[in-house]
Amino acid sequence: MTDHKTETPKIGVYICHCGGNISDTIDVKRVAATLAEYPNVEISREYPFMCSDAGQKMVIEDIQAGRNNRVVIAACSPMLHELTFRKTLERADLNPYLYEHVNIREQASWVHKADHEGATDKAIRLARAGVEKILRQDELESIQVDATKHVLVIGGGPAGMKAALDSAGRGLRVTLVEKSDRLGGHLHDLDTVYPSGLKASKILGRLLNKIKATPLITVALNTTVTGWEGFVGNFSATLSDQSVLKAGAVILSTGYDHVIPADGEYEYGKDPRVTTLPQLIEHMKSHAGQPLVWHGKAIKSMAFIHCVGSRQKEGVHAPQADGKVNDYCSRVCCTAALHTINAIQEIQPELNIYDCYRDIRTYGRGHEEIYTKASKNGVVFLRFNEDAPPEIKSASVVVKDVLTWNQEVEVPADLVVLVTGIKQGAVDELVSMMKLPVSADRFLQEAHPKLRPVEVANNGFYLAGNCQAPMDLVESAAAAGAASSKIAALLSKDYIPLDPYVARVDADKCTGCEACLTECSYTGAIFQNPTTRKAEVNAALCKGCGACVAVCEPRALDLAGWSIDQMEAMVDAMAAEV
Amino acid sequence: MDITASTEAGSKKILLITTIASSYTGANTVGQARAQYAPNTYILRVPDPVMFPESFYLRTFEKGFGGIVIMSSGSDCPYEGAYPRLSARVGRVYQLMREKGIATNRLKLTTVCTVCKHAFLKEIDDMQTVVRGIAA
Amino acid sequence: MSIQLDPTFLPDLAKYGAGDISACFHCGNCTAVCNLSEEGASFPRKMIRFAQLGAKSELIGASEPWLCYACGECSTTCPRQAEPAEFMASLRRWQIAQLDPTGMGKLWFKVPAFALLVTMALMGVFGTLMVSIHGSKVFPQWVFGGTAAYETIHHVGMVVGALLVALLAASFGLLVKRSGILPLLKGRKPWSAFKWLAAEMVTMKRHGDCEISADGVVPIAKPAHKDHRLVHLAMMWGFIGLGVATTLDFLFIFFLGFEVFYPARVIGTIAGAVMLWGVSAAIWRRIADPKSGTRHTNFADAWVLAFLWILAVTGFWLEVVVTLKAHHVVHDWVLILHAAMAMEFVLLFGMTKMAHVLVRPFMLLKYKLERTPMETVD
Repeated sequence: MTDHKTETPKIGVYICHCGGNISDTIDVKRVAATLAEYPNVEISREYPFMCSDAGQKMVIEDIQAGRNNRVVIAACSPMLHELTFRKTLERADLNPYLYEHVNIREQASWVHKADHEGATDKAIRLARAGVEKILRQDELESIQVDATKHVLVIGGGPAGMKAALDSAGRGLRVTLVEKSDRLGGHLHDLDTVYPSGLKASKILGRLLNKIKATPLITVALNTTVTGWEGFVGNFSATLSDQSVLKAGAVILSTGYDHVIPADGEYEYGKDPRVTTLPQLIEHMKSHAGQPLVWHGKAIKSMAFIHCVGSRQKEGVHAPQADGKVNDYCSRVCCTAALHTINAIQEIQPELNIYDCYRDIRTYGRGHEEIYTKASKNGVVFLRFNEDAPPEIKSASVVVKDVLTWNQEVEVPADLVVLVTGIKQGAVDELVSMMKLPVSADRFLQEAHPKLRPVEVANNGFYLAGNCQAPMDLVESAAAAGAASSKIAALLSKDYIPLDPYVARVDADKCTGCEACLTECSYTGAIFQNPTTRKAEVNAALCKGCGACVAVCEPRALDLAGWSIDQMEAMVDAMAAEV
Repeated sequence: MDITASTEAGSKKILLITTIASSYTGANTVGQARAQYAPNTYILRVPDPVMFPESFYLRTFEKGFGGIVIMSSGSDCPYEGAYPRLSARVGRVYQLMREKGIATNRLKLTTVCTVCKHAFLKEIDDMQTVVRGIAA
Repeated sequence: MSIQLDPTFLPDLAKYGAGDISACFHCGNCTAVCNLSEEGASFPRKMIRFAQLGAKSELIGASEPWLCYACGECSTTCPRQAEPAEFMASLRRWQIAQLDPTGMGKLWFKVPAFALLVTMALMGVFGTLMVSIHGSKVFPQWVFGGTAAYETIHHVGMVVGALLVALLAASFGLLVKRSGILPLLKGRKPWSAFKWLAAEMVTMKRHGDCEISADGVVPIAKPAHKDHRLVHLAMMWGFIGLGVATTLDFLFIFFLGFEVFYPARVIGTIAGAVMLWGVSAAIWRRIADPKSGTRHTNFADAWVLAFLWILAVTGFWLEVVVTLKAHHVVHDWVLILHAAMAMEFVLLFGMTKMAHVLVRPFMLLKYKLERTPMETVD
């Protein structure tokens, strides 16, 4: 690439009409004309569609003709086309970071339709701010780190097994680490799985056979991860057998634990008629096809109570080990309970079943049919409020039923099944070792629920299954597949490009005051050079939040691409008169 | 929603500091819904507002901005420990504002998610009221 | 006192014509679209809930089923195809059946074969009686002994009549007890409620309200035969008119000793025509327009309409015959059919759907009494 550092900044400004999306409200000609007069702006144009081939070609020609060496395009949201135009600059042999995308559509023309004058003034100021920012932009280079083509999958339940298979299917070596002595996790506990009704053992058998037949997968049973170092593309894990494993990325598929009801909650542990859904499923699995007999008594009538250990309320429910209640919905338990109810009724259609719920959540494909089947089979649903839970009596359950105008309804019950929720498994050690973000409900947190649903904000970490949130088998498999594809893309080349938006130190200005060191949440991201006493940044570990920048008195620290100078100049441009 | 604020004589500008992860997308969502608000509002996009030193806010007021709304990602924040630090910093900015005689309601720290249309509009509405008060 | 459950109730109610009521998940659309449902008299959802639980004690004396006139709007809007309108009709049948102390009423609604058998058997009995009276005209003298049996028949008739009155009295007693109407009479002046009931029975205003859409918009004027309220009014007033005519006829013939021909005859003719039109329209609706109102016609419903229609048609036949003083053996058969069916109709009155003639006004009275303020004690 040509070195533009020594060149005088010559900025090209392009105002997009976006059909009429922008130009119907904003006077694009006036914006372009005003910008043309602005310092450092060499050319200023407006065009119907900047993102079209012709629009991009215009930019390339201007750059190649030497008319400009930095570009500002005022158009739609950068989320739509920032990357498009970065590639345009690359094609014109210009550093792609010498480009600023100004949003005058979603945040101007579309929201100020009634005020053409005001919107036009705003667009002028925003474009000027873009000019000021790009004027102060350095030629950033994306950070490149080596990519070790090896995936570490932690947790050998169905999600981990699927993640391992999918990663290996894309040609990556995989080590599947499982702390117990067998693969399969909770799949071993189930009889049939919804919505397909397939035998869990059959699914498990298929997964195991495939793993055995895949030479790229190494399974390490009775193994845990005890030490962790490195960064994306270059992790090194110490396993419990003291071996060290190099991995480019890691998939966390550590699974879940069932919530155990609090002591005495719904008489659990005191009354032998009270059990939990997982225990009932286990019982049914070991007595396949037989009518329900509990403690020697043939069951004629039974009650299910939902939301035990889920959707808890402070002050109403006993807190968990960490002092907080489980206020989240475990969401898979409703369908699991109804699926079990249907299985019971297939054997004993005459058994009376009462389902006491707070809300029924049969959200997935094929789940509603499970509810409908139970309902048509005569299961009586009773709804209670969180502050009036059902009462366990000697031969019945008394429910203050919302559906019956809060009247008390007494349902006979030889067996009471507590539909318990799902909680995070034992991942505390991994969390502190890997510095994983944990959400308020103790599950591992993705970078963004919609835009990056299986990625952790920490580069190179991916989530599959119940360690992230309660999921059923279908969702776990989908998450495992998604995580594997993400990793396949990440490790597809020999190096991994990272956004250059990380902190950097101007050694000349750094006084070695150490204020930044305590401000950083990421171990090793910023550190003090022992000889020069000045701060240094490990670009691979820095997440680019900028926390250190704010406390740097001499302004030696800056976030590349988002410097305080740039931001202040933008504010000035926004404040200035048109 | 008062969409004529900018045309009122002497009405001041509002700076909306938004995050890439959350509130910037939230502002786009408002646009996609064609909800209307006044153009005296300027959106600044950053990875995380925690990067701004106290001086940045005071300087922005000096440059003539009537109000600043920091639209953070709140619990959606992808950066570890950033929100408590930001919150503490804003506390210090309030202290400095009081010392300089700047009304503290001109700066607000709030949370706007990627689809929080109503929250976004409400924050602007509230700050417009504050800003009108300064102009009067 | 908590509600006691009975899981056998819903399967039992299905035999009275309720659809897939367990499918209801209590969205409340049915109650929301119902014009007649109101605070303190909420239906169909409330009734559905009690039925799902099998809370029979809450249902047996409930007036709500009788506040419904089966416009069918709830079934149209039900997202679960639980057919609330059918359900309300089945509750009415169930309540009627519970009022019959012989227990035959239950079989009548639940087992069409039983109803058919009873109908045929009674037809046989009454037919035989009639033939034995009119034997000389229909059959050769030797088949029956002419009018010799008349006295026996008369006495049997009196006994059966007394039994019928006793059964109806017992049913009414049950109705009074289960509805809990007596405590409502204490401390209230019932007069205004009675006045309201009389007006309601004459005009059936609530039935008309039933057909105004929930947003208060009166629907486009329907042809008379599609106007449920008008059709029902025709059947009801026709029936009452015929009753009056018959009574007048009876009084004048037996007590005054001479036949004052015309007043009773005129009333009877008009009333009969009105009823025949009403019954025909009702039958037509059930066959040709099953989507409006009640969607399914069970045997017990069909029985009432069929009887009323045949009675009306044969009645007119006989009137023409009498007027023309015609003589033919067919007319005698028609007379036998008419008389046998009329007797059977009266005998089974309390057990069939016709019991609503008693129950609905009674329940309307209960509804109104509940809304009559207590007298303040000075």
